[in-house]
Amino acid sequence: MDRLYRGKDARPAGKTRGNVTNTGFTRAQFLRLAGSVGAGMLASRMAGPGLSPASAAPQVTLTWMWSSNTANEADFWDKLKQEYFSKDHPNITVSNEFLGGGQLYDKIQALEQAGSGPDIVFWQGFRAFSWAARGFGVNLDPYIQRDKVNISDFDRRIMAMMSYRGHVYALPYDYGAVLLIYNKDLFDAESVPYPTANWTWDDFLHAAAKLTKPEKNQYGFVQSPDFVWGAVPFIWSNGGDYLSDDGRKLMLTEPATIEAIQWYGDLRNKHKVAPAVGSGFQTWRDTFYTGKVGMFIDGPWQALTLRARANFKWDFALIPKGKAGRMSWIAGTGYAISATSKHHDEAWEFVKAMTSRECLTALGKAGRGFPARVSAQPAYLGVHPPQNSYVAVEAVKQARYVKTTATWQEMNNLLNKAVMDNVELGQMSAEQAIKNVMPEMTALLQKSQALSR
Amino acid sequence: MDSSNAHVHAPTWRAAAAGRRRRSANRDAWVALLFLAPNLAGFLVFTALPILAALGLSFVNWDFQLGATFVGLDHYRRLLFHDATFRKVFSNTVMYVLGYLPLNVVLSLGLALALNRALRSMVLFRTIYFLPVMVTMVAAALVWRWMYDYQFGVVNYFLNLLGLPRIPWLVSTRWPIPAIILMSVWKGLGYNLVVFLAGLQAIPRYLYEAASLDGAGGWRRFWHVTLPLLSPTTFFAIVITVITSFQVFDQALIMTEGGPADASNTIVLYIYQNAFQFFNLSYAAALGWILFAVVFLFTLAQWRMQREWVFYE
Repeated sequence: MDRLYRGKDARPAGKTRGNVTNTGFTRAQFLRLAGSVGAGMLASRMAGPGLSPASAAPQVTLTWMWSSNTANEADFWDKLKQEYFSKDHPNITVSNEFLGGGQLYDKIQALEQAGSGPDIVFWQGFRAFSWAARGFGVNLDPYIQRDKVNISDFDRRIMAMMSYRGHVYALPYDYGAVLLIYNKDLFDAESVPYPTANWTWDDFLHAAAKLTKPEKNQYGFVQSPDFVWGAVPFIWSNGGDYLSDDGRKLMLTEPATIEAIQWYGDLRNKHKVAPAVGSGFQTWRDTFYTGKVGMFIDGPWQALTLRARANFKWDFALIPKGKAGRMSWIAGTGYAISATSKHHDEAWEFVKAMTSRECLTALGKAGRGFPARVSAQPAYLGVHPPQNSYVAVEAVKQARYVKTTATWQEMNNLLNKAVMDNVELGQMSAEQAIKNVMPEMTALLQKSQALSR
Repeated sequence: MDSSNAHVHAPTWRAAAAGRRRRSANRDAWVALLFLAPNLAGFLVFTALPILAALGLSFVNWDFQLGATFVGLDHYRRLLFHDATFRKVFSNTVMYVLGYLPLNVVLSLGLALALNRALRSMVLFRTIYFLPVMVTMVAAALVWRWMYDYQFGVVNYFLNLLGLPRIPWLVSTRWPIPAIILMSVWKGLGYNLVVFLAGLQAIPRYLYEAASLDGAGGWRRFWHVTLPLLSPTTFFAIVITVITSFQVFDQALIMTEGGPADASNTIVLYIYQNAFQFFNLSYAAALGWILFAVVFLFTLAQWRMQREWVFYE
């Protein structure tokens, strides 16, 4: 499975898979069918004399396919829906289709291609471009203009990620820039000072080395084996890139890019401050939760899980500065309407309500995400731990959003297996690994350009 | 009058009876068809049709956005001659089958022989060995992923206790396939065990008595009575195991996602990635047909070879 699943909303699957509300294709279709039959019956009954047109709004059922990995989380989303949407829209029933981890994306893609996508789609940032290029979503611009939604309240970078060719395809609920999350107990035990905003790569490496005690199975840092998750913050902070800003040229062969990838891989096989973690689903994240690792890089969306799972003290810090300064990456997720939906108008009402300032404030307060609306962000900062929750705000100040292509999943997978794995295993230099994948990467970029022309 | 009447009508009566028989045979066929209809319809709609559609799909290049263009055998040419990843996943899968098949068959046969006794406690042991079969593969794989963890896994912990070096089960390019084989043997042993137990219990006791009277010892009884009479069961077990092990998927997906560096990627996982993650549906369809051809050839070869060693009573 490609490692994009280690996306922000993918929670460790080990303990929670049993609670996933996996209702399946047939139920979705059945519900939709039931909904339309129900609506028909209701409409014919309401067509009788004595009813005003206003109360004759036909009953509509929408399917809401969403990411949720635990019963708790499912509960949270359902309550949010009741509170901020269902209460005010008695004629619209939103049926939850919550799925965990990576299955969600595969299922959405399969359903969309089969022409029976869910009405409301979990529009994840890394997939947004590829889905929009394939026509999965609906251009929301007319709705946004009609209802005068204040787009400028959303961070413009996450809006850029939710847009395709200048049109908005989803309204984001959360986003965030990746941070350094550290285990305070481990730092204390080894008398290592906590990370500071002035940390350089050398400071980071130095601290990681002091925290590493192989005989105790203890390490300074755990790497994500994913290209975006692991290497990109270092590539950018080193002044390199992987794709040009217009998305038309690969930048992987830039010396600064190769240097950063090599440095990242060396953390494991040269400096030995990072344990060897498998490429299996979520393994790197779970490794941090063992309490035997000092630091890892993840986003503010991880706070909810950290509060629930970490049995040690932890906090947020900024990622260390490279020679080009500090550059973190931004990603997030939004609510989109499937092009295959037959109820665009009703679905829009849902999208609008669920991304309202009130709803996103509730989301921030619960720690489920760092709100995409700037005006709702103070809610996130009031909840501890982390002690330094303000770092989530600092981090987005020095960050860019992750550029992707219409073939990004395949490109990302190729970079993971042919570059990241080989460099981390010490089987190949970053330079050699990049050189090897360039022909295939170039072909994939051309395919992407053909798709998004 | 009566008799002459009967005489006159006799041929007619016989013809009518024959007609009724024909009609009733016809009716039986219709009734049978009617009973089969739900199954048959299901097979046609959900199995036969998609298989044929997949064949058609494998000759076109189909992307959601760009539409379909006919490319003939291009996909097959690419995957047989130009796709390094396919070569990798193919050899991984063959290695898996070559490791898993003998281990599974030999161990499950050995266990079946050990458990084929009329002791009350045997029921308990059979249950214990069958339990992993009942566990969902995904759940089992999630647990084994942690057991195989290089730093924190229980497997390396025990190796360490025995004074042996730790093995990079899932974090090297050499060990993931052996790791998946061992886990799958644990998981799948119980199924063939039950098959072999059923086969053993079908061997008539008097044959063993006769062999004993002829002075055959335990080993010769096994070699000359048990093994030949069990051969149809063994044949079944091997055919089914080969087919299912070529489809190895869940373990690799959950434990390693095919990594690192495709070291544990398998044919079905590669099909899944192409179809459901990379939008290469038509390429995945071609891959599916190649897998079918491989499994078909293996099964055909076994079918042909059965007259050499399978003994039907």
